[in-house]
Amino acid sequence: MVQEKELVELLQAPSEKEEAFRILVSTYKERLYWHIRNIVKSHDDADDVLQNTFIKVFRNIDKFKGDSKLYTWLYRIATNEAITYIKKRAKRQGITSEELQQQTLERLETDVYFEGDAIQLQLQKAIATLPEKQQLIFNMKYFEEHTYEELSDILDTTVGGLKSSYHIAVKKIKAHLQTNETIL
Amino acid sequence: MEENKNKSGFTVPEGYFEALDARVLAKLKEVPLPENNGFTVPEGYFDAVEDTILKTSKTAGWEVHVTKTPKQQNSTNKSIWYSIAGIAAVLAVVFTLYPFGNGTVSLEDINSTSISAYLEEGSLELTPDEIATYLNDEDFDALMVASEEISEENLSEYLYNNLDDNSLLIE
Repeated sequence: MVQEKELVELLQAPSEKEEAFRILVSTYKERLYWHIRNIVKSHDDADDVLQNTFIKVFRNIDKFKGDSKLYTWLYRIATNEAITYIKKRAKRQGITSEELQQQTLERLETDVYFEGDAIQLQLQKAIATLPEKQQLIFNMKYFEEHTYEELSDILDTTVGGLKSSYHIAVKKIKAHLQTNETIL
Repeated sequence: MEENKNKSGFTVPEGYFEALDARVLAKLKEVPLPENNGFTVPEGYFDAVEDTILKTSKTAGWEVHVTKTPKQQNSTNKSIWYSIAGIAAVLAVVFTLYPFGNGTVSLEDINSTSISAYLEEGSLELTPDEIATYLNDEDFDALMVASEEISEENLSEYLYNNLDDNSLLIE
């Protein structure tokens, strides 16, 4: 297993770049995919964003100074790419990002790559009612099981602020589910 | 990640992650489209362009140069009708704007060949569409009536002389 620091050095060495990139994709593809999927919801969109993310990483690796950890940098790029993707698509359709998300959720029931039951579907609908940053925090903590410290690095927010946001998010989601007669 | 999948309910196509590495690497090798068109301007061009334009305009006496519209060949009956309508419209405009001294010149006094030759030589730099902008609803009504009154004989003669593909006349 190549250490992160060593991998960055290989990525920044022209002769090793491609092979190092292969290792990078292999190491982070699943984690980044699920992170993106939780934001954009559909598999096809997640696939597009994931590829864009890796291409952006490849083209900008020389600008990575090592001030943050590599995985933190990757998650930031993936998050930005996913949010930008949604905003661009919403703009093209002349609707808001929230309206686009509602449309996506309405299609979830017939999505062949969503095998969630009624509760899981209701949970997705509940998450969609949260502000953008609370959605991110909830998804990353609840589904992706990041620690608050990791979240703090990625989202550049204090651990205290994250705990508070997560607590509020869970409360709102529970209230939403209770209103819709479902138990989390 | 399996646990993640179960929690959210999202799934991926079979073999998706196994094939992903190769797809990402293949995409990297695609030649990206250039971000700009490669054109450049001389240094300081935009700083000086206003002065240059103003200077040129003054030298030219503030004249507006109109680019000559390329002459179009008539190839369909529709365009022939436009031409006929155009000729009539031009005459209507000419007679309206420049009434001749004795007021005796009329459409019948000028033969259609002369008018066609005048237009084909490019002496009048107006397209039928441009001519139409000078006409009002009454002019159009008058033109429609005039067009209906063109005899078949005159029309056949006009088509014979002006149509590129005479096989159309067989019909």
